[in-house]
Amino acid sequence: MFATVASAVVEGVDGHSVSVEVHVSQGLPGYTMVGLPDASCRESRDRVRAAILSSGLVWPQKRVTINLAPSGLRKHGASLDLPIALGVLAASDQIEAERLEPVGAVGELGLDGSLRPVKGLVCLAGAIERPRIVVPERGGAEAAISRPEGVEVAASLRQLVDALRGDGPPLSPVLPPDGCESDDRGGDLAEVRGQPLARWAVEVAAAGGHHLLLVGPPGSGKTMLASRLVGLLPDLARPDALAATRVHSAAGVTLPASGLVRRPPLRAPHHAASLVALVGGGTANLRPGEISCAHGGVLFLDELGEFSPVALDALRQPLEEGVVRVTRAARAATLPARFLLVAAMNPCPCGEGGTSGRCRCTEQVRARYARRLSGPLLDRFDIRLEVAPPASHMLLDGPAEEPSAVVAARVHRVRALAAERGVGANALIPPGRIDELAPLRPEARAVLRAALAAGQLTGRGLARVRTVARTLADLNGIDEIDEASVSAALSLRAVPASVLGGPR
Amino acid sequence: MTAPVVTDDALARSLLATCHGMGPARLSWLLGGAPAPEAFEALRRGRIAGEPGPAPPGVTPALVERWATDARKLDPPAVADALCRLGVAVLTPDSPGWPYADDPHPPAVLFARGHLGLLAPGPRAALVGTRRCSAVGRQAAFQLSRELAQGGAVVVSGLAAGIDGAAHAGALAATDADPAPTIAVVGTGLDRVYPAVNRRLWAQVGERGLLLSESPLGTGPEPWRFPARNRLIAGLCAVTVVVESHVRGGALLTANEAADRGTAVMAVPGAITSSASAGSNQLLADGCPPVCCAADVLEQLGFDPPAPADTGNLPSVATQGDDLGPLARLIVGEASAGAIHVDQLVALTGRPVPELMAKLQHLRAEGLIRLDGSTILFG
Repeated sequence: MFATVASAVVEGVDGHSVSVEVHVSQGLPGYTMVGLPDASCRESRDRVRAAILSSGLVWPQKRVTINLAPSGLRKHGASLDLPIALGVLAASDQIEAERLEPVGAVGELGLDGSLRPVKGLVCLAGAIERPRIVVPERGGAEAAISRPEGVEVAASLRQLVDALRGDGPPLSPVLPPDGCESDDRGGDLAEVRGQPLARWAVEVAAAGGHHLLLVGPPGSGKTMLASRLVGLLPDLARPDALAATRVHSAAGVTLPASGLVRRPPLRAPHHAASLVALVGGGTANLRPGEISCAHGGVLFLDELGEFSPVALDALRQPLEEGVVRVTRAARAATLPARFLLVAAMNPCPCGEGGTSGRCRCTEQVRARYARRLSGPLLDRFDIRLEVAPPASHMLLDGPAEEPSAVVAARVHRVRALAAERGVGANALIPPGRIDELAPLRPEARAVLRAALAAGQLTGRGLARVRTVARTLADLNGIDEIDEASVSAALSLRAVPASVLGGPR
Repeated sequence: MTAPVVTDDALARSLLATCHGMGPARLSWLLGGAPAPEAFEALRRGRIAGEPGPAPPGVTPALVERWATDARKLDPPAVADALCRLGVAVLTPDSPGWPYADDPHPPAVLFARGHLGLLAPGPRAALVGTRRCSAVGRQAAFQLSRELAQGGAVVVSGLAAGIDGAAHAGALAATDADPAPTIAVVGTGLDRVYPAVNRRLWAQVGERGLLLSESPLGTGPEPWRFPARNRLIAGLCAVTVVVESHVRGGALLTANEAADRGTAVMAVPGAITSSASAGSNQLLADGCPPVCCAADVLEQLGFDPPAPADTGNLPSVATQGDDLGPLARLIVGEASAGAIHVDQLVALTGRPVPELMAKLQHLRAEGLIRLDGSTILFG
């Protein structure tokens, strides 16, 4: 009269083991569910009942009590449909409880008894403490990523029950996916013509993982540059790929055919995105935000000046630490959020405030626009690039530019050098190790001293410039940082006056 | 700048000016011909020294009583100390070089910080305009001011946002030598920077030029003080130039004050599509002479008309670039002809971007160019 089925729910990007206990006893027919289910979880009663009946099984005309343990953890979503159904069947003696003992299950049920995939299977599969787990057919590859062995798939409740009873063929195990990824890199850098500075800046940003601010009028190619940048990045290392896959799975982002997110993701949230959508959170369940979905890849914020200042300033802590800690009254989650921030904005609301000299905005309008971007956030951008529209003759008749593959080879070399130093990218060199990892030649030191004396640099700026100089020297194959690298890094840091709201 | 010595008369006037709602007319009336220290002591006892004439509008016995209360609360040594500490000199009509001797509405006391020598008789031009200016207007104010300063005139303005600020910045940029020929007449106390956006400019004018105010220390931005300060700007100058003004605005008040004093009013023509130029264009329609270049103003100030071939005051690139390489000379030369983006520089020189970027930092450190993002500006 009693059965337990192992399952799990996802919170943030972590799976939490849940034990579904079902008790069927004499009494008035009824159904009670306890253990902090949310609305969608509570609705499972009707789905489960219909699915059992559609599968030609029997719904017990007795008192059914369901407990979702641990009782303090809030359960949400439909992923517990399948374990509840199995529990009801076992408690009403339609499946032998011993056969269910080594099996965990997760999945949503259709009214016809079919099994549907749920969000976060990567996180869920790893959290179920049983030797075998059963998941919906379309989620098999996803579940197998975090659990190389013991994942079995079923298309319907009936198929699963038959297999458990020994009436039908056993379920087929799923092997971890290892297929090759299609090499879609989102456009080639060769298409960016007549903008040598922007091409170079994108290469430097990709090579060193430096946050990049693009300022330019509409149509100058800012979005084009950002999408090319992702294509230059090397494939993710296994731990990063796993972390990215977990986040994408938990957030319900479609995973690539191969299952594992190998290519660095590009996330480009719209500027109307709320704080929660950006950094994660939510009242019903803790969902990863866009910055976590961009883990290992690029977060592209187009129209930076139109984002709410509150949302932008919330980016500062994850930018520093590489993780975001989302805390709500009852729950807290730490989500991965190490991303390369690429932001694009117009110089002013009319968009013509750059070199063109056709700006129609008053100073006050410009100042208000610039105020959206707080000083501390601006400080996080190692490369500030003013993008000018290319000369028209370059677009049509310009010489062919280097394709992405050539540039990516240089980027990969610099990334490999950083890995030898034990950092993910040059931009992540901790301040304490900068003297050791980015030693300066005396001439380079003199240039920095002069820039500090002239008020061009702050203390934080100094450390940032040295990491960019490290990347530039690496691109040139120089070990000890030379004067040219430091000088060029300082030039890359020059702030467009429009971003500060002032006149030039 | 030597530490100013505050005389008893000046200190007493500063103290009286601190009382509630005390403008120049009320202060003159209150003094009524008596020496200021005497008037202050009398006020503390609730009396009025000297023989005041008919009371100015708004002065009631209740107000006088309030002044007396204010005066009793003041601590004269502390005020003197604050003036000395901030390097603020107090000028009175008896001070040598008092610039408002013939003015119809002179201030009763003036607070000054900076180079008092700028108040000596000489060619002074007011450059005034709206706070809500266009980029073109700001540029015009900066350039005119720089050229006026280089031509030998002292540029006077109000250190407000917009045109005023650009005018001071232009005069400061004209020379490295002190004093820089610019006077800012402000509406607040000299220890109260307003607007905050001009904080740096305020410090520079106080350091290299001259800051003037008739408001005592601690006075915040009170609306009535700004039109009052406009008359002081007009009263200092032989020419008042309105660079940009909306149909209504403080700049036009300054122009009216100038007209009342019989000094010249000039205006910079603006586009008919720009509302920021509507007021200044109206001045032109009313018959003010137009300002098309700095020479127009200099001529009005009595300078000789410049030789026609004079193309401006830009430092010659050839002389500056002598010890630079050919690439650096080319960059500085291009930048001096107008703002240029790095991409254009690459197309011009054919040099690789990293080399150019390193070069730009060198030229920036030398002070030959500025970088506005990836755009190269001269100087």
